Amino acid sequence: MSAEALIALKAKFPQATDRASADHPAVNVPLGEVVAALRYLRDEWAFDLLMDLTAIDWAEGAAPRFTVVYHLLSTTRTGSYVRVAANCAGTDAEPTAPSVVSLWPGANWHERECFDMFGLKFEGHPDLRRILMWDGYPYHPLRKEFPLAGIETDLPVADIQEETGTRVVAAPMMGGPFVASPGEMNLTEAEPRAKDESWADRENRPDQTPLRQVKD
Amino acid sequence: MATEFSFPDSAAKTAAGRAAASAGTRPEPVEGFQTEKMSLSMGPSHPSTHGVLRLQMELDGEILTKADPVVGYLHRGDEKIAENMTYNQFVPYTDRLDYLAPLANNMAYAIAVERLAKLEVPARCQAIRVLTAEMARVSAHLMGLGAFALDVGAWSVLLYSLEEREKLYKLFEELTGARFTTSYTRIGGVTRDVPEGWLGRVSAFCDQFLPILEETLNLLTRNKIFMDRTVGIGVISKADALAYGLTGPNLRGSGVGLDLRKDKPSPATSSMSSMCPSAPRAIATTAISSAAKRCANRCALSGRSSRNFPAARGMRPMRNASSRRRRKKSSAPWKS
Repeated sequence: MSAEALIALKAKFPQATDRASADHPAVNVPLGEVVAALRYLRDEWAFDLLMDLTAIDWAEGAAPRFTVVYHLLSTTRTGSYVRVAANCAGTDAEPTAPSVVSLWPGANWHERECFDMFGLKFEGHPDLRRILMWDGYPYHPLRKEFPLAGIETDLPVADIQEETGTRVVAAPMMGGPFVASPGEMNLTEAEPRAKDESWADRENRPDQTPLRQVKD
Repeated sequence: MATEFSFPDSAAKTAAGRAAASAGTRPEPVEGFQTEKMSLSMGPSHPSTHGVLRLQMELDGEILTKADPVVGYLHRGDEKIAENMTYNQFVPYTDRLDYLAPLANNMAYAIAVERLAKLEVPARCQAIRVLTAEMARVSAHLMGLGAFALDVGAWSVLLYSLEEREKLYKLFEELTGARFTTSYTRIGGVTRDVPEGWLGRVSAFCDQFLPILEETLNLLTRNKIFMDRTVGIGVISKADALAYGLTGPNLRGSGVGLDLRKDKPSPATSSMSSMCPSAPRAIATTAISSAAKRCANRCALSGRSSRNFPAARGMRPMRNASSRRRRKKSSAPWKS
């Protein structure tokens, strides 16, 4: 059912192409047609539930840098689930995509999250504010160039910062466990337990004794 | 010194206000009486909220006219953390996504990675995962039921449900070594096989649980106070539910019969029967009783799956007379 919908979609929007996907059928749509394509899927193919709206950052220097992905589910056609993806327009600093709040009001918070985390500007969004980070936070943390430890910034409240002189400092994580950085420790060295394969089920641990069973 | 007080009838006032709000009219302003709306910031840490949520509210008397939720106080950046890890290293983080059902989160994460890697896990592992996920679901539903009842003023339900959760925690601890943060799955499997005799103890839990659940619900579902505080309150229309992307019991409570477990079952669950109670009317008691029924169905499913378990190589299959007898006894009262 999902595949049929996408075949019909590709007939109606000839610029749409198949998208590689491990499970559900997926399609790439040019950014200018994405709202029309989503409306077509919603109205003609009963994809009435927007399950998720998210973005992909293909890392610095990639072209296109950002892709926005819509997950649609049909509540009436059992088990129909498709993804629609579109490459964003705009610059790396300020990529843009059209808002779909007019199709699904629930897209409002998804788009706010995408804006907060990736800096994607959704044109036509009624209230595009940050949702997870505080207002006035200068970065978009899920972008690939943003470091895991964070970047030192000002406190959200200016007068508290003035009074205390404190800032939001980066976590002292570099070089610690789970942090891979070029030229430094790799993950296996940082987490030596990764090398321990004694729990593999082919052989018993040398010190393995039968577990005492708890009787009820 | 005697002073006479007159208490305002707050219930009548609220009911009148609600009627006016639903009719789209506001109460007539009194001549020469200045009123203004109050803005109130509630949270992020407030005794009545479960977790950290701040609401910037605008109140007209007791009527909430506007609310802007401020979320993100618990934002931990799991995606960013995951970017810097190997796949197995992220498993403990999935415990914390929904800490009421960590086993289910472990499974969901492992299945997602396995699908990407095109890995197939053995039948016994799938069965273990389904069983543990259903047990986690029972445990999460119990907490939901108890906490919701507590919030509308029924203490005892929480005590009952916490006692049952404790029994589940003991089983989780025996299986995974942890009561809460289980980290049980690995990519391609689970950390260890079930302990000897554990499946029998799961069956025993399921059998004793159903009568207790019935007793708990008798305390709650026809309770006058509970019904006064829930029936017809917070109804979400079907159109709104779809527009705002609700899922799960909330969506079914609005009359959309969508159940992923039924529509898109995983290979392991498709061999076990699953039931989807669809609530025709969007009232809270229906939702609660359907949650409880689902709890019971889940429990029956856990019981069934713990009895028809795929055997590991070199292990004795679980089949004996006592478990057959138990199955007969437990399936009867919850067959609706």
